[in-house]
Amino acid sequence: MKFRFLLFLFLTGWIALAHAQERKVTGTVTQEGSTTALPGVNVNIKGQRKSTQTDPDGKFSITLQGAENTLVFTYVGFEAKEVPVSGNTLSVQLKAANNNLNEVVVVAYGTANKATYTGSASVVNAADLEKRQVSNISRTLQGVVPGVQSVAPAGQPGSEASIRIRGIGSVNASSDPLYVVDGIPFSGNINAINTADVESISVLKDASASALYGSRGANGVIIITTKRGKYNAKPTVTLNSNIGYSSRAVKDYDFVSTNDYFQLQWEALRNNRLDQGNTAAQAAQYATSELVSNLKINPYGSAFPNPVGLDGKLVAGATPLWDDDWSKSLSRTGVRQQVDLGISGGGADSRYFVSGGYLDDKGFIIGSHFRRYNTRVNYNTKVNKWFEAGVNVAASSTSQDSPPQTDSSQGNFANFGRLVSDIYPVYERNADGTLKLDASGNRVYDFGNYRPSAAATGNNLLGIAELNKYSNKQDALILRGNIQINILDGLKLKSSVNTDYNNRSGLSYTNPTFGSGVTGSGSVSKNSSRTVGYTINNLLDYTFNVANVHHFNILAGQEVYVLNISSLSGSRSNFGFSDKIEPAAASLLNSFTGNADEYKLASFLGKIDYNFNQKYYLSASFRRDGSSRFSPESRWGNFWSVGASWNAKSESFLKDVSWLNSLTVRSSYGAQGNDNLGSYYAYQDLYSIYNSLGQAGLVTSRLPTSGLKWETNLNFNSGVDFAILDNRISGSFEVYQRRSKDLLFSRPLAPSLGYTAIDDNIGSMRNNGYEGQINLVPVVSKDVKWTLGFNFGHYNNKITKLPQKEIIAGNVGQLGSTKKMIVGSSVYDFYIREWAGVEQANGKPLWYKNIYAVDAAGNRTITGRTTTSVYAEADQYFQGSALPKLYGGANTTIKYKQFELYALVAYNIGGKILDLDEVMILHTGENTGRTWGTEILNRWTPQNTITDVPRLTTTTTNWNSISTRFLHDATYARLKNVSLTYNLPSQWASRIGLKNVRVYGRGENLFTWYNHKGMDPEQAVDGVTFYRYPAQKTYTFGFDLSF
Amino acid sequence: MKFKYTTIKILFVAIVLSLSACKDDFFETSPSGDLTGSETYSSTKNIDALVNGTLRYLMETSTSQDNPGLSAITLTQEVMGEDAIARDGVYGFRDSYPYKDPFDNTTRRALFFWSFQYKVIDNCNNILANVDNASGTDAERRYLKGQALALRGFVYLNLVRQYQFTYAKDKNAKAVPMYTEPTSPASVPKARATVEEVYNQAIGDLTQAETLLAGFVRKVKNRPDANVVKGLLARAYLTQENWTLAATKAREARTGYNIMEAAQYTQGFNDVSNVEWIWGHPQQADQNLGGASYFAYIDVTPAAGYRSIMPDPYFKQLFADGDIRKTLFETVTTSTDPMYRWIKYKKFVNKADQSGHIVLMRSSEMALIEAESKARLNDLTGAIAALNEVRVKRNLPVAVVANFTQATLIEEILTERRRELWGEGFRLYDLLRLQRAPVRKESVETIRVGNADLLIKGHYVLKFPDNSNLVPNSVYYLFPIPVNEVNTNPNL
Repeated sequence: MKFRFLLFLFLTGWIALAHAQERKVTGTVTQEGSTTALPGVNVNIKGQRKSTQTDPDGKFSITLQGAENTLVFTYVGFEAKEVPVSGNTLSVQLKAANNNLNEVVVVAYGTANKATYTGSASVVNAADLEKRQVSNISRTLQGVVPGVQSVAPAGQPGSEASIRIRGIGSVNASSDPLYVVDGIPFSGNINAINTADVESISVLKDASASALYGSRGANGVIIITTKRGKYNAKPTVTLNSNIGYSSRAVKDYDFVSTNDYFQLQWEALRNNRLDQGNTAAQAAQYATSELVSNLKINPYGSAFPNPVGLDGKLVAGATPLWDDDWSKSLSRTGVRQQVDLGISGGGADSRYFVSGGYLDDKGFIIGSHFRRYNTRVNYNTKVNKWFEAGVNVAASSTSQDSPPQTDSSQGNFANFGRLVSDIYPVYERNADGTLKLDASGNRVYDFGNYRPSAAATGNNLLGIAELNKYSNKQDALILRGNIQINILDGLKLKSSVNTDYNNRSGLSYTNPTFGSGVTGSGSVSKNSSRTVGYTINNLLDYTFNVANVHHFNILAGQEVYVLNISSLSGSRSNFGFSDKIEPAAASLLNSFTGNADEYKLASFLGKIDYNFNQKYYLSASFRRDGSSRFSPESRWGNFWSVGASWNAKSESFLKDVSWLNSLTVRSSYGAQGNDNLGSYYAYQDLYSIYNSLGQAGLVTSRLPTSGLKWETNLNFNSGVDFAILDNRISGSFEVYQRRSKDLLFSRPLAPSLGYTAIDDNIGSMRNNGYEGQINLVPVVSKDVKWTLGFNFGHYNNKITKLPQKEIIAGNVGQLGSTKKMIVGSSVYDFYIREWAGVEQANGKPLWYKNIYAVDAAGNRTITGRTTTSVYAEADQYFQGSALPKLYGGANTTIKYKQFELYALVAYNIGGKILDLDEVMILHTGENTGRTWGTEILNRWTPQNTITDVPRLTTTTTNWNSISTRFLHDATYARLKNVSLTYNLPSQWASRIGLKNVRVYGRGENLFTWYNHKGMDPEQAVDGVTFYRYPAQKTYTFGFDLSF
Repeated sequence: MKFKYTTIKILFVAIVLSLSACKDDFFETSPSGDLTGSETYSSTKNIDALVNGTLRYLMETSTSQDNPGLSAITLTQEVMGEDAIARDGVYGFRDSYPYKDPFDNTTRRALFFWSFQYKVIDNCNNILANVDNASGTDAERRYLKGQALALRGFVYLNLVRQYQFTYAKDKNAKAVPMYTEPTSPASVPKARATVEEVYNQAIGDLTQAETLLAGFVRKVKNRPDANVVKGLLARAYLTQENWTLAATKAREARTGYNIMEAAQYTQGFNDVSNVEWIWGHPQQADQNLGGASYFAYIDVTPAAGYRSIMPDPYFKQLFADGDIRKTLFETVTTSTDPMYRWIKYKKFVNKADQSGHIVLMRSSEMALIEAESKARLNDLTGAIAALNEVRVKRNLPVAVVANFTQATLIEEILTERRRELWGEGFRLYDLLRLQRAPVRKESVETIRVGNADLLIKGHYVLKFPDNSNLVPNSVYYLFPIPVNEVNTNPNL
């Protein structure tokens, strides 16, 4: 209250002092060919020392005396411009020098000239984005931005990529970056935003760039800025349309044939019988007579009741009567269609961008489908000299049919072909192998109620793809409303009210007739949730100069964020009617529940940018956040940064060095927070409501941790940007250290205490790394321009403090742990059992285990190691890191006359990846009926003793459990994108009444260079695969036109 | 004009700034699905909810499809004997059947068995530590305390019989850690207590509960009352070979619970209203585990589902003709049926909405404890009388003392336990208690279908994983302490 009163006095005081000039000129400076305002441009009166700088909106105001009538605009990285002054207002456009260091980037609460910015930020512009054929904007960053690892954990159309900026800074809290849309932290699903509406994406990587986001900035910030219109521009209509075809990017593992399958299973049955004490003859007899009963199928027909003889070989004349392929039957050629229409323009006082789009992406796996309808209006108006207002409204409606594709369950469409062996028919067969047809002559899906569990009993995903339904619908509204009051020259108040509204509705229907729904006569679950995030902020922004060389910009203000989540879900079963899929048609209520959560954040923030004569730049920022996630004692946290940059080229001793076009050195340090600990109530002792039998029920769920607070990241960044030889070579290089402290750990507790873990802020970790990019322009001529870009990143991760000696981590589903954290190691280090091969004498799998010596005091010391065939007895060892040595991308653009060819390759060198997909198809015969990979053909037999595939048997050997047997080098490269574009010469276009026309063909994920066949290497930052929808390759053809 | 604008500007600024005032209670939020500790322990009503939730947790918590609460242990203990077989090729318990899992302490089953039982103990410890200060009547507090002690005693009695050999073999062997105080952030995991110490704790808890629960009338049969506690004491004393007390408590426990008539035995074992169920867990359609429940594995009658627990053909041979229980066997002779050539035992049949109730204690078991204890005490007449109470209700002729020696009578009673209690989780406890090995033999029984003799399916694993023979007191019968506990409990 007191603060507001003082502020009031302060403002009135300034206003009273304001008016004493002779001839005031005001104006705006923008980048040539774009709507981007240029902040910090030096505006100098020709021949005088007197100067000023543009404010964050590119505005300036300067007073001319007497005959002064020319202004000189200089800006680092841009060509200087002299402009004669005639009236009182000016609109100036500056041309960027020919290298991509010189651009204006959208940063926290403002914009900055990249060439002099003290922080680390990378930009992806609309021109780069429009080449990509992806249905989620989060997927456009891989290989493009140095220091960013982006992996699409599921190829499912519309699903989000997971992004890690400069590694993982957190163990148990979220490592996801903060998304900011049009200046405001975004609380929706990023797939609601149409890539075609996006002007630029900024990736903020260091403290200087992201500390202003305080408790949410620790994992970096991704700022998405949407397109705007231009003042004084005629309406322009752009129409983009394309169609694409997709298929699997990487060929799946090879599977064994039916004949091999039967002989292998015979061998497994025979071997188990030998182990149970049978003689060789008894065992062979058993295997021969029980084989068909064991597999529950005889593809050789009734003429061969025992298709495999006592010698383990197929009997003469036996041939399979069908040759079905489950994987193939669940795939198709995906089709992706996109149409976007945009209209932009503006008058003297207002500008607008209006767009509408439609996307329809059918993935290559049967049943997957993503549709999006979206529309957007961005409108800004200058009501008068001191009042401006703007509103961005975007609405989208998406619908995703997403058959499960990400876990080990039988319902996983991507995995089904690895579950059900091709010995089982997809369609029902008669005894003679011919297809069974129903009354109307159609094939009948074989749901395989006879199949063993390991081969998905009673399930045929192809059959139920048509009968079952998995849909997610989402309606999103993104509202950004802001007003700006220009209180004085250089001083303005900006206020905004913003809402992200999301309504999701999911329906999962299992039909009563076939498949898993038979038992309960079908079931349906339906859920609905509403998420609304409000952000309200008020910021004062003041730009001023002292003595013409000291330029200041100060921002101060406050912000409030409230997130409301409310959800409902229920399920019913026992359908009485076919063709009715909504809960209303099911007679038995199975569950109904609902929840509501609230999360609140209140903040004060401020920053100062200072430069001395466009040579020395300093910046500092501060934010204080209070969060409802924490107890009153640890609710408030402070976050800050300081940064500096030196524009060396503007020094007199370098000014005339002709080969050097620009050189900037910069550095920053600061603290950001991470409050995303998973729970909104991270300090209380909690008892879950667990009602039972119609009565109230509770069960312990969380131990109290009253002191729990944010994680803090201390970030140091230092970088250099340069351009030489007429901007033919430019680049930047940065080193950083990212230290996380007060790390939130789910500290494991002994399960006998009744809890598996307790949340605790104990532990520290650091990531040291470097990253950079180099851009070359080898050829520039009238008709040809060839550019090459290469970017790279590297970091290492080290745990520097832990709550206890070691923490076993990285659990994968039910398969066990993959990592161990100790001080000095990395969270990416694999800690798994070490495969020791197959015992030559008996074909058993072997792993290493320690040999211990025990001294008198009972202390155990390791004295060596030996092998064991009992998996549980084997010891775990560090086995290298999932972290790549180097990762990044390379791109090239060749323009020849009207043609443009663009290619982007993403690469990953070094690091390891644990293939937990292949283990599913490398059982030894215990998973009866499960698909078998061809590697099993090399199994141990008395004749084939030198192998790394053990002897077959129908009892579990654990050989395909997690071990180094399945750990592979993760080095790969992938041609992410190729694009060939032809621009119609403008004189031809104008003949048909158009401004621009271009046609193109593009390819996404066309080639993958990777050694371990069958696996998609682009899976997860932690290097563990887990039955995901494989990436898809897409060929797209389309056109863009504007008029 | 200028002045006017200035005024409006100031007005705007003032309005905007005042919109964002920040009150003190701004940060107050609370979860919609949880209570805090102080809310939970404020009243006996809320603590009663904690008992109710703890019982559900015991019976229904599940970490994967093949671990349906306590029933997962029940079924594991069945397939680790000889009378039940985990059908080949189907999920469920096919790794427990060959002694691979939970024997392997890295498996999810090993972790589940340990963790969920200890979670129940911690819930009980919390109730015991806080109930005295809760608002409510003295009687309410007494009954809550009694139920918590009964549950804790039940779990400790189970743990000590799962993780170490039997009391009679070595009561000084290290068994499992014991906790009697609620876990706090400062708690330190404990060392293993000896078998004897755990029995003392369990019997102490149960004895105290017996007193506290006098007069407690439960509304739902899943609550432990005085009869349940007496039955648990009977189990404890039986294992301790304290025959006198075992016989006494077993008789007291079944007071008021008549043994069901023969006809009811064939009705599916799915409802707590059964006269002889002393303790059982009812189910409702909205909270049962459906396709991954006890019934999903043991009920072999539906057209689809796991249906994985099959009787051994030799088990069928234990039944005399006329025994009502023998009518439940059926050999599957349809070649397209996944259970082709297996025998089905249709003792357990789920309810139509999959909400079959789960049996935890029956008066038949108590009668057989009494019979066995009396036979061990050489009170053959008393033993036969208790045994006959069961036999007559199963349509068997009464047994006559003259036909038995003490040894043959004990054997007969033990066989009766197998016949009567199949599928209810007693077999592995009994093998450990009796220090015997399961007798698994290949099936040789055939059935004539058309003009062919079909071999009926039976045991397919006759040896331990290391190919050695099944022997008494093998570590393969014990549940292992999971690797997570080994890694996090330095005091173990």
